[in-house]
Amino acid sequence: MILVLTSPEDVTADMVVDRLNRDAVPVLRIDPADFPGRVGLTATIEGGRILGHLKYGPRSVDLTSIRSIWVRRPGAPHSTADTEPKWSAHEARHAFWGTLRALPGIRWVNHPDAQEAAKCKAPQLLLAHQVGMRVPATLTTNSAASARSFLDANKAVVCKTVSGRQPDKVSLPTTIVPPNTDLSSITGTPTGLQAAIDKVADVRLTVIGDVMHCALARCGREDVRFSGAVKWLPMQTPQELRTQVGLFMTLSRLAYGAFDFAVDRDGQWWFLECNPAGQFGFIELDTGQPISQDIADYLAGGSAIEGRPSRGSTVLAPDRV
Amino acid sequence: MTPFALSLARPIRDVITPDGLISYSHDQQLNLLSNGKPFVNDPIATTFGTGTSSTAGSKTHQDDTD
Repeated sequence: MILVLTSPEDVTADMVVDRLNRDAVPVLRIDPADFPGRVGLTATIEGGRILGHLKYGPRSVDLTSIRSIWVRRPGAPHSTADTEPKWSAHEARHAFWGTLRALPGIRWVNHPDAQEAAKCKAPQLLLAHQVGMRVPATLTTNSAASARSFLDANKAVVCKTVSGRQPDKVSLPTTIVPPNTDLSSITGTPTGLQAAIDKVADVRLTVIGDVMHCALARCGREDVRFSGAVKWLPMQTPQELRTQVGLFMTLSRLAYGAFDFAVDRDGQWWFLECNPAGQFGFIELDTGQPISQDIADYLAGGSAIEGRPSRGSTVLAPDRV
Repeated sequence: MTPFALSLARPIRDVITPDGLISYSHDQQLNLLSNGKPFVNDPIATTFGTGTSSTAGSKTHQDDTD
């Protein structure tokens, strides 16, 4: 049994659930936000074993049958209590996640501890450097003076979110900071600045287990996420990068990660970030790389087959960037 | 005080999203189009719903979850 933890509206998760259904692999998809309520949980710890079940509507799953858990886009367990609702929600979170963490031999994608740690960008940048990747100089500050010094020291600087999260009401692409801009408001909210890469292409490397899917978009300096006309092309993963990323994944204890790189005019690759729950649907649709099948295979306990042919596109060699 | 980064923000682009066009099926554990077919089997609809900056499904379609 595979447990998929995500919200109902997560259509990217549908791609994997659909594969699991086709492969006749038992799957239970629930949103922890529905616990307690639609989701029922009973767990007994006795004699060194944990026994019990998860229920969702008519479905009931024996806890001991769960082999893999995909932590995709889960909501938080909540409270239905009128009295002490914060405490009640806290109890619900511990009941839900504590039980799942106690299950033995689970194949996690990703383990909650690894997922949580990998959300922070600063450790990622240090780890990327440690495994041999090029990393742009990066500043996080709420000091306008420090920001000004950073701008003066670098040919061009981009502003990007510290957390990666987009604001609710506007878009915040990674954007070049105009040289003479007023930086005084940096004191109110810590800001992420990074030496701009004079990039000619963006690379998205999607990793599941030992399998890596590399895709490239020729996009110039703009933020590829906000460039509507971009086309992703499949390419071979450079051997040196494969080694570095493999080490990064091992040290981060991640089973899944979506890495972003920028490729500059000299063909040098620069690490930008690793998204531990990053999107993959748009890459699969453009390149034909069978990412959802590989995730399904990994969750099912099989070994995803690297080098499975992509649909409809020529695979670029690394020197074709 | 407005955060500095927001001085570089842009309006959210109008994008076609499947919000309101799909409904979640608890039986199939998949989202379905209004014709009852799985959303994931419609390549055009899926293109608009699985990117990194689409607003489809609110925050579930960004790379970073919090």
